[in-house]
Amino acid sequence: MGGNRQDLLQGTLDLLVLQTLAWGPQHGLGISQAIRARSDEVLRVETGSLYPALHRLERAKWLASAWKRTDKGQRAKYYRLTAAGRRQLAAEVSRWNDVSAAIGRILRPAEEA
Amino acid sequence: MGDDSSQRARERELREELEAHLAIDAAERQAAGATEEQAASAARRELGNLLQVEEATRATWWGTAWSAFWRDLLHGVRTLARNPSFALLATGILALGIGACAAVFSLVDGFLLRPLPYDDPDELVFVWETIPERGAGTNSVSPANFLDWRDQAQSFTELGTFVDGPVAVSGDGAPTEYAMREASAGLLTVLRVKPWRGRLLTAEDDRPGTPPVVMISYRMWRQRYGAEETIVGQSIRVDGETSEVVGVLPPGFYLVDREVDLWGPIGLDPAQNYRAIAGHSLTVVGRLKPGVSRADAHAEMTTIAARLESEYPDYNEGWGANVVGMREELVRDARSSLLALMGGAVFLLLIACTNVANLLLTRATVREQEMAVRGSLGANRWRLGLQVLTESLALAVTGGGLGVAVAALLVEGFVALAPQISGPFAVSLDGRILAFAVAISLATVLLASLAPALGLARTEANVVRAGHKSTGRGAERTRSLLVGAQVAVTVLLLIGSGLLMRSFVRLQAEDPGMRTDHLLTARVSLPSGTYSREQGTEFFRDVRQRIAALPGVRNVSAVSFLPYTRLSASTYVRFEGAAPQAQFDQPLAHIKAVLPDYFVTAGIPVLEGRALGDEDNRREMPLRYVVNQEFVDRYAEGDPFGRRIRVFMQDENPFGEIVGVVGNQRRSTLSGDVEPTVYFPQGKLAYRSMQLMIHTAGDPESLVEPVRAAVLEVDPNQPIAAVRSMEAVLDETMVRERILAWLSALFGGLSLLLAMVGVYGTLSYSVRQSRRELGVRMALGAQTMDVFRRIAGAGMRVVAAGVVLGALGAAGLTGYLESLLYEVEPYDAVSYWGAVALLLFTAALAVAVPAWTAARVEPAVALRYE
Repeated sequence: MGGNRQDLLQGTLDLLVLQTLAWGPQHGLGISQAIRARSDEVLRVETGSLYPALHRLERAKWLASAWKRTDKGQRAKYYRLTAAGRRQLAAEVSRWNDVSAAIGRILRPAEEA
Repeated sequence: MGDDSSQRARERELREELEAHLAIDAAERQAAGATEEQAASAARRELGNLLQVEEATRATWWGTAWSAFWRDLLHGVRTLARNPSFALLATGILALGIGACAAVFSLVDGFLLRPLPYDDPDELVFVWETIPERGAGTNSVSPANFLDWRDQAQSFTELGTFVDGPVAVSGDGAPTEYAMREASAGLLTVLRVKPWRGRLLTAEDDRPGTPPVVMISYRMWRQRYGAEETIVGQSIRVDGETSEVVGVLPPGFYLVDREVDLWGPIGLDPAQNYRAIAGHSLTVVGRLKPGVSRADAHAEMTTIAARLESEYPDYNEGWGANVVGMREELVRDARSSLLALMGGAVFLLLIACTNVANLLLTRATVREQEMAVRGSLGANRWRLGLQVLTESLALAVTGGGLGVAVAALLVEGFVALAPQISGPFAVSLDGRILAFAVAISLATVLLASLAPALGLARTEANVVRAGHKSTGRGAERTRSLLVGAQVAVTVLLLIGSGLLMRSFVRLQAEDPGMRTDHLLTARVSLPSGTYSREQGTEFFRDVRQRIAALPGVRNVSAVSFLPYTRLSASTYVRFEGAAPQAQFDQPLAHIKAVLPDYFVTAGIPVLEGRALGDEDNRREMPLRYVVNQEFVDRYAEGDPFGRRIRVFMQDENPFGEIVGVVGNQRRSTLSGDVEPTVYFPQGKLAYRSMQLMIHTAGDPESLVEPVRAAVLEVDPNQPIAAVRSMEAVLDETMVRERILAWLSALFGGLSLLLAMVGVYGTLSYSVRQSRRELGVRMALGAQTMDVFRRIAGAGMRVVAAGVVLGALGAAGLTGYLESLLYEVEPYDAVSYWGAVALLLFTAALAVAVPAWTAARVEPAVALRYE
């Protein structure tokens, strides 16, 4: 597990997980599949990163979990966004937008030249 | 933090979550067309390393590294709890080593290192008189010289002096004897003490003719006067005289003797010529001026003494002066004992640490297999190493905690057993020392586990493949080395303890020259104000009669100075008709005043002539003396009878006839010198303070109250003090030897136990490791006895090497014990051979058991073992 890579992506991963769960409660496998699908296979999340993130977000009380059954009848631990989690998601989205706009401004002059 | 069971529950839940992940993934793949097997393995591949995911997720449960540390520590404790015998053994060993070390170091610290309880204690010195010709370096000071010193010396900010004696305080409670100090006002200034209540003694109080005043100790204020605020200004009766209490000294304040409760003015009058009337009885304390060293002061005092010698040749000739640092003086007796004990404790700690290290090494190699397997499956190697380390940490902390308890016990015990040794010092368990000892064992434990832990972190997968043999020759050699070292140190300790024990036994076996059983002693000190000399003699005669009438009393008498205490008076003796000699060449003798029947009561044999009886005690009778054998041997050339001697004790010293010769006692200890002694009848040398000696039929302690009552019958204001049996008196002289003997035996015994556990454990372990090899040998025809001899031989070789090393070390070191030994050479053969024999014997047992067990294993069983 590369350390540096993980640190950089940790904040982004949190954002992706929160956003995914904004679309409805899901279990770990489902979240990882959703991110892959929605990003057109660009972003793949390793379970070694995903589960720590889920547990961390739950510890921060932005997620809540419960054991439920899938439609196939299998047991799984489902995560859902809490109210605090929704607020955190909004804040993170806003920050992401600010950051990416700023990066864009830096990159654009190079294109102009 | 989460307790143990919730932790396990969470781990279980995480496992379920991940397994659910796998199940769902596999089901989806199956639904997409894969076989069950393909789906399952694809799902597993996709998930990645299950263990790693678990570890990573678990790491998020604890937000900080500190919490992770705590968790590992708890895990370490749990692992230890699963192997209670190992944990108990290792903890116990550590606790012993730490406890002994910490206790001894606390004692050393209290005695040798901690500052005395005064401001700038390094400036404080004792100033003694000396007699260079006789080699006496710390002689008491005469008042005349003290006054001259005070006038002339420039090296001190102040010089103070004191002399202690017993007094009876009466009138306001039961008559009780207290220790009183007569001190010059300068003494309290030297010590820079501040009064707790009231005021200090001043130079005014020292002037002749001023009303008597006194300061009392804080302890006395609380115990006798209930800490009443009205104490200042109150008058109390001290030795029949009324004194005003002008102040209370602070709690815990003392100088040299903790027992002193009253401080009064010594009343030295500069106008008096003390050279005519007084001898040398004072103790002098001074504070060096800033910038003046002890050596400077010493040089000055020597010069002043020389000047006084030429000014007063009759009195001062041959007398010098000496300046000794206060701490140096006070620790003089204890220093070598403490250092010896320190050495013993350090060795014990070393053995304890190497033993634990060995245990850990052995255990680590056993777990190497387990760790290798876990490591190859992907568990974080550093985390594994950390777990092992934290196990060791848990061990060290528990051992340290127990060690604290052990150390506290040992220190308490020492202070209780030897109050007169520890008296002037505040001896207590020191936090710093505990921390130090715990640090040492922590370091050892961590070091011992670091090696295997590092090995774990670098575990190669091929270790697992290779099979059972993961222990290298290197580890084996380290263990043998450690065991050998333990044996060597044990031999050293056993030899040392053998020497000290033999010394103690020899000392106890010395003939005291008198009765020690069934003898009760008690001090009666008559106040000078109330009793004249005749009245004093009357008093003692009355008391003697009354006590003799008590049931259970066989004989009763009294003596001025009890044998085997450090108290004595000595002076010069001149034979009638002898040529006059220089002062220091004159015969010197100890002087004791006795009541009739003293020698038969005390069990001292009358060797020639007769003892002193009732007749001799009468004032009007001619003066008759009894002397001891040593006096005769030294001064009377074998024939004392009819010779008359003159003893310079009083204003008038007529010649008196020697009528008897009695047996010798030592001066202050059974190992001390025999001094020539002259016995006076008390009626002729009317000491006011006499030690009653009562020869009892039964237990001496049973007569304490009847004796006290008998004394009170004669004078209701007269207390008795220092009541104890003669046995107790003698025991007190041997406290140091007794403690050394017991403690060194304890250290020796403990280290023997530990070393033998080490020998046994290491040999058992290596036998287990080479079981396969043994099995092969036996299958190939080796006999039981051959195998036994082989294993036992290997074990004993290590032991033998250790013994030789230890004996050599002892030969080099026991020279340092010389000052502590009595009639025993540092190279005493019995101690050396005894220690070696003891060790070899126990080692043979420790080696024989695993060797025999191994030799009796069936070859088939051994070969099957993997």
